[in-house]
Amino acid sequence: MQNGEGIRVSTTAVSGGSITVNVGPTDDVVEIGVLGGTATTTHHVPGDKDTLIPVPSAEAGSLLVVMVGKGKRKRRIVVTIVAPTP
Amino acid sequence: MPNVRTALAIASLGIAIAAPAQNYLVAPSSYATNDAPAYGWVPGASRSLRQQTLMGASHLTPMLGTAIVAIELRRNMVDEVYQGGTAHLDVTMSIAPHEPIECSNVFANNTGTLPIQVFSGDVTFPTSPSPGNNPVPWTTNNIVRIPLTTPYPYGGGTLCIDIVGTPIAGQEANWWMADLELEDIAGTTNDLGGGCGLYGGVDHEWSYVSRRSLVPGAHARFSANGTPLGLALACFGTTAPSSIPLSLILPAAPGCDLWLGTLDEIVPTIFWPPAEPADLPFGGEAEISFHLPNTSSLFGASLTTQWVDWSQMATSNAIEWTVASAMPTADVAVLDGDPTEATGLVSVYLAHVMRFEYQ
Repeated sequence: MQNGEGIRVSTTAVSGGSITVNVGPTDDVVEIGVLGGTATTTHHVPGDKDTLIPVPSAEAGSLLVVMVGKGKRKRRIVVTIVAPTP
Repeated sequence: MPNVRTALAIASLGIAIAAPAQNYLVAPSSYATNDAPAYGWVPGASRSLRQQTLMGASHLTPMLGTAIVAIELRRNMVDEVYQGGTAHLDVTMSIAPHEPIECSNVFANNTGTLPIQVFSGDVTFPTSPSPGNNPVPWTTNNIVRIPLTTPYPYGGGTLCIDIVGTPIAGQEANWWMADLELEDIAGTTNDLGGGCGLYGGVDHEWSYVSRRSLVPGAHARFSANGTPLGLALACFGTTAPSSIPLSLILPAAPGCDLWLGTLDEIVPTIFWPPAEPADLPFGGEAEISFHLPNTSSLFGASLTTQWVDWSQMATSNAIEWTVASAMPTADVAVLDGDPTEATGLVSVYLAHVMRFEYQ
């Protein structure tokens, strides 16, 4: 796990799978996007401490950016996308 | 002449009189021995942060006419060890000029007329063993304790606890999450589509409405991604029965569809470039918010928001949103932001569970 600044997530995520993001509900939105692309998706943070987010299908080795907050409150963590187990 | 035993008895009585009784109050009291529903970060644990907590008078009645001498935050209940650290905290207390439900997004507006700096110094985040799945007691290993160097006299009203935390390099407590009350009410949203342009992927979904912010008394928040440094227009109106092509009224590309039946308000802003250059392909970031009055007349009120990226002449996905049919009753609020900014993010439905020591 990698953590800090009120956000925690695993270091890798399976392409097409899902990933759990730990963040407090003060920030009620988690935004993710694959680095280099233009698409981001936003996800509501539930009250039960864990946010389960679908991981886009992307090539292994791509980097998924997990973002919380806006402006100077923004924090980001980069996760490496790995191929699904055959 | 009194004998030694009598003298000791008198002396110990004197000590008892000199040392005032120590009392504790957990607010909200329902979490005195139970884990609260959520967790929240603590200023300075891993990042510079300013956090104003407004604690309503309904939680503080037993402390009326006393002096607060310490504030404690308890760790969240989860089966894991929390690694400790140290942070520098500056704490100021005052009586806010309003109830928590009226919490402003401007820090200065929540501060009372006679703020007192009650603490400035380093505070320990203890390494806390796993409690398993058991309630966490208020013991030294489980709490961040802020001993006030200047006791704060509480005479009633909404208590504003203003904490500015700064991490200390090499001593960060990166995941020390404190117990947090959360009243989980939210409005609803319905994505109508109609987006076009460069951002938001194949579905062109480049706008978002925070559902939890759609509560009477809260600050409703709307965000979008678009051309960095370009003009962003957040348009509000009623939902159209069906969409119309933007190209009928503006020189726009096919696929840009308007879902607004009326145009009641246009809020201009800028798509600010992200701080991290690698995130530039996601677009610039625009966010607006406005206060929803604390009134039941807003229950179920609905509007649609659709953004226009003027540089591209592109529409965002339109989002029809509806205000929750309930009002927060927790009587707490938090304003959370960067210490260098005058404003922050308001939440009128959550706050850290706090234990006050008072005399």
